[in-house]
Amino acid sequence: MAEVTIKNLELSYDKKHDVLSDLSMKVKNGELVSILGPSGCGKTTTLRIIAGLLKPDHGNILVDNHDIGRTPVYKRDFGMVFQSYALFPHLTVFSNVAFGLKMRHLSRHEIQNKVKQVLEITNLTNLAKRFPSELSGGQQQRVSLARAIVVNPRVLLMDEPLSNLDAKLRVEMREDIRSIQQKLHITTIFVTHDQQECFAISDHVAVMNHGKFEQIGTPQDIYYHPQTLFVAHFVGYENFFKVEKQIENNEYQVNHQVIHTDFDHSYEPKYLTIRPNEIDLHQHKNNQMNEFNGKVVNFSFLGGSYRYMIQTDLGLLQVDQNDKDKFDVNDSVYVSLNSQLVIPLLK
Amino acid sequence: MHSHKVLNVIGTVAILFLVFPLIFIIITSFGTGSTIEFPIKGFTFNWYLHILDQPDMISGLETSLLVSFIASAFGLLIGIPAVYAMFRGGIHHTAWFQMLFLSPTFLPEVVIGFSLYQGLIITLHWPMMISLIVGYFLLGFPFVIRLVGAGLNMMDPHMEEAAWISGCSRLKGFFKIVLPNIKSSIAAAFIFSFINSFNSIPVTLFLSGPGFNMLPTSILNYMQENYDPTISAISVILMLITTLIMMLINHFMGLNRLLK
Repeated sequence: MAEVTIKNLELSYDKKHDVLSDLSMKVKNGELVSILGPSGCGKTTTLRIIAGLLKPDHGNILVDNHDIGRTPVYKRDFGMVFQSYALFPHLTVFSNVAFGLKMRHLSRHEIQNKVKQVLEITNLTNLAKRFPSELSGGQQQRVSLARAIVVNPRVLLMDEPLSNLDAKLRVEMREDIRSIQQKLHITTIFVTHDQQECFAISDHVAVMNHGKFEQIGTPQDIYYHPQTLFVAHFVGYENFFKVEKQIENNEYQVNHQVIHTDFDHSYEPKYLTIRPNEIDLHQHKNNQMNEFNGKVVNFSFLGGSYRYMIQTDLGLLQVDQNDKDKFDVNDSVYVSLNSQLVIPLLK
Repeated sequence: MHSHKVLNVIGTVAILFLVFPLIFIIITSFGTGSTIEFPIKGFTFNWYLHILDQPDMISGLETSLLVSFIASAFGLLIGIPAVYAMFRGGIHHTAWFQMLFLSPTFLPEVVIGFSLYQGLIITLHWPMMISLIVGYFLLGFPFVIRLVGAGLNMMDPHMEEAAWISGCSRLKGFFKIVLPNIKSSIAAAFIFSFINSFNSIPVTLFLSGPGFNMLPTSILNYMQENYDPTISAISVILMLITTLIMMLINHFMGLNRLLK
């Protein structure tokens, strides 16, 4: 249980192509922080550096304010859960879990007790004598978690632990992981590409793209107040308007049109954005603020709602609308953007 | 269904083709005639007893077993760390090293035998025993690289990393996690390199000589003077030894898991 600080981590491939650039982050004692990003963004690489499996070109990893850059992997006192589970196939569930305790030269009695306790927490007591090949994916995943937490690690690292499980089990497991993590108060860094999964269990989320942290914040921060194009897109924003200039405090020019907004005007946004389901779509002019005329280009059924592509003076908009008023291709419509729901993006 | 039948027929023919000469030899070893003949006219165990009267063959068998064993053991001792370094050591030019280590398989054994004879025995005056161990080592080494390499490649590399994170040093992790998981590859590598060295006539011919008898050469020598069923009998004994080794290793190390 500890506090982890990552300072200016950098890693390049062949000393030329940046894999990671200038990563900094703080994980407080007992927190679960997720690194969220698409595949290839460098999130697993970052985790491997924290674990000590990779060396960064620059930067520091501090645990409770001690730099652990020179501490070898096996002395870091961490736990890690791998995507492939990486269980030891020649050892039983019990021995897999006991492995780290044996390495720490605990007495037989202590090992027995601790393993028993952890197997109980992870609901594996009945499987203690089985070999990994005799377990289902979900069970293997739990053994992997048990093996990582039994040593009471200072930090628990999890690399896409749920991505090999089916959808239903994934939801169950993530709740189990969260409750165990909170019960034992383990500082945890969790790597995933699944937004929902990460929002459901994290205290903080670091969204990563091309080897950089785009934004770090609470799940609510990220979801409601994305700060960059990438993050906004990742959490479901679809309509992006490049700001041409600020006309007045709360008015911005976009594609020669004016959009009124409500946010703090000191932001200096590069883009404005709004979710498809937050745009109001209607047949007749209502003389509302931010109202624009447009034409339906096409639509698709999303289940419960329709997504319309609408050509307007602002550009092509994506608008989600439930089926109370159904529009057809080439219908003339009006869209209005609620000024409270238009948010600024800094880059 | 049709292709299934064809496959069965081809498989049966292939197996018969492989097994028939062996059955033939087994039968002739029990013949009463003074030369190898088929079919046999009477049944006797005498040729097996006759082996015991051939001190050359007995001592040849002993040295052949010993030298093949030492050479194969050396192959594992050097090959396993080499493979580990190639695949897990983060070194460059792995393909180049692999090619180098496998190169003895590309050379005719006669060439290996002759060059070792010229280099070790004529030029360096090494004893024949040592030269033979070197030669057999070269014959077996490629099997170690291939089979242990395949075993290591099949192993999830995260397994070892999980051990390190659990508090296990790299060296300890190699013995506790890597070795147990490639043991069937190691067993297979040992068998193949052992049998390959044990059987090699070209290398043996060049590197053994008067006063230093190996089994293949003593069998050849015997054959030149007497063509009797003793040859068949010693062949059957060799088959039994090989089968026994296979069964033992399979029993203790699970070779069937690798061949599955």
